[in-house]
Amino acid sequence: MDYITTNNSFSWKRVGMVARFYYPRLKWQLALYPLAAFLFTLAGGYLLKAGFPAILISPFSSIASWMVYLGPLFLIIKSSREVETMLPATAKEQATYLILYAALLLPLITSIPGWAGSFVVFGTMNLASVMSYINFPPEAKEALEYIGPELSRASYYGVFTVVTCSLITLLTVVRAKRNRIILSIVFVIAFNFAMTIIGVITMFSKMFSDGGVISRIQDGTPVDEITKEFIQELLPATLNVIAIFGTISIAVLIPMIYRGIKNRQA
Amino acid sequence: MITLNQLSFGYFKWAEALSNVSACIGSGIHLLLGENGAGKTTLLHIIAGLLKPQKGECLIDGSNVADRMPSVSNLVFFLGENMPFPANTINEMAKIHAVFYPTFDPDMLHDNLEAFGFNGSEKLKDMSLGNRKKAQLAYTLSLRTPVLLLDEPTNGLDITSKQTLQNLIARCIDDTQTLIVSTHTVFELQNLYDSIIMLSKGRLLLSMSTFDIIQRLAFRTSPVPPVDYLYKEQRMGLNQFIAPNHGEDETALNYTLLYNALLSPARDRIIEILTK
Repeated sequence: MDYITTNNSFSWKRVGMVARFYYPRLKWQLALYPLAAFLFTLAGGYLLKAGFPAILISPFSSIASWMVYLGPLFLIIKSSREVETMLPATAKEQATYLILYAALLLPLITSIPGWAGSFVVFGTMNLASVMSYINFPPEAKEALEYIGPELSRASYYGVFTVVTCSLITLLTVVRAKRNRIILSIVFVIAFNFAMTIIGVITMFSKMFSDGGVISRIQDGTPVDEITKEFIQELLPATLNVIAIFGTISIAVLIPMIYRGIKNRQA
Repeated sequence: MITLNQLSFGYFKWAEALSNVSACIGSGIHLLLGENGAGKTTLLHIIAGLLKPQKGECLIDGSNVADRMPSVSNLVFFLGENMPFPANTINEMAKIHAVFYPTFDPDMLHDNLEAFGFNGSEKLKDMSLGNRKKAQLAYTLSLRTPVLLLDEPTNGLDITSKQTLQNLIARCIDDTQTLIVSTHTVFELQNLYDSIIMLSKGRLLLSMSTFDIIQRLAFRTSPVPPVDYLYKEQRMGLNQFIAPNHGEDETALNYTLLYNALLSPARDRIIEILTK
């Protein structure tokens, strides 16, 4: 039997023991998530290739995202607030494991099988190539050509949203004593709404800034040219704002989670 | 050694669950008594590090429990009423949880489970309340932490299991350990207690060894109580009473009588005699 030392310094060995402590509750999640992500991607991909409309297929990617957003709710299964609060591991060690689980492990065990599914169906993981299967109207297809190279970058920037939402759920699990499922859903929706607002603000700032769309129209620049430049500038600008907002959110959430564990009252 | 220094705690700003509690609790088996809402569970939670006091401190061997450092946390374990275990079976609990406690004794766990008729692989969620409690008690005693806290341990246990628990406590708890038992059903484990801690309305009334109590107080039954009796109750035509012990032979401590006396107007006089 391995015995933890009585040293109070941060110990990766104790982090490992914390991981082992939570494992019985999470083992089904760790098995089901990759399988579900792979199968959802296969299903969505084959339906897309068969010509089904995108609106019927988008729920598949939404479900995969929400699996990660609310993934930390699995910690509620068989949870014992007393036993967890008394656990002889420092708050830093417990927070380290839980944050790595929510911010790294969950996104990875969902994304990697998803990418594998995409590769099986389309022979590629490139988002622009996958989106070429969608029957967009001609104008939208033209816009797609302008922003094609940025779309792949967009799929990587989506990780900021996924990680932040997963950490929001983790924070709710750690701090709330009741209604954790409802509260997690509400807070995640609120965050996504906030990101949408930020995207809209970014778009309007591009339109009304000096050299923006409105001033270019007033200058008499051809509309086609304005559209092309707007789309090519808007997506990178939005992605950058998402990255900054996401990074700030993550930087705020991590210490909140740590303090939630440290000051937990059973 | 548990040291309580002017502990105060309130769940709400306008109501203190514990008020200015100070005591030193050494090794041995201690009975924690008090009426409903007296603060017993709150006190146990603070000693276990589950709650942080708003004023004062609780130290175990000189270290503040509220800091929740591993070196202190692995000295204490609390088993509450209806407290869930984050595992499917006791054996699984031992694998994932007991590793944090250097004092855990797997052989003792096996013996304790066997005494209750289990092997550790039974699914906790499929057990009745009483059986789950027995399995949890078997596990808790085998952790062998220097400080063990049990809140209503006999609730839900049948008569035989209560006797088994008494035997296990007598066997498992050694002279270096501190066991605090909070219970309303005193007589089931009454042969084990080394001291009494009594709370009332969040205040500490008494923290004293049973030996010292029976040195100072006499618990008797007779048709006519003595003139200097401190407290009396009438039961089936006879008077049970508490009187000062004037150097006579010690009498058996009547926990229920003492409990009722300490909640009565005779409290101050009794405490004065006990603490002089």
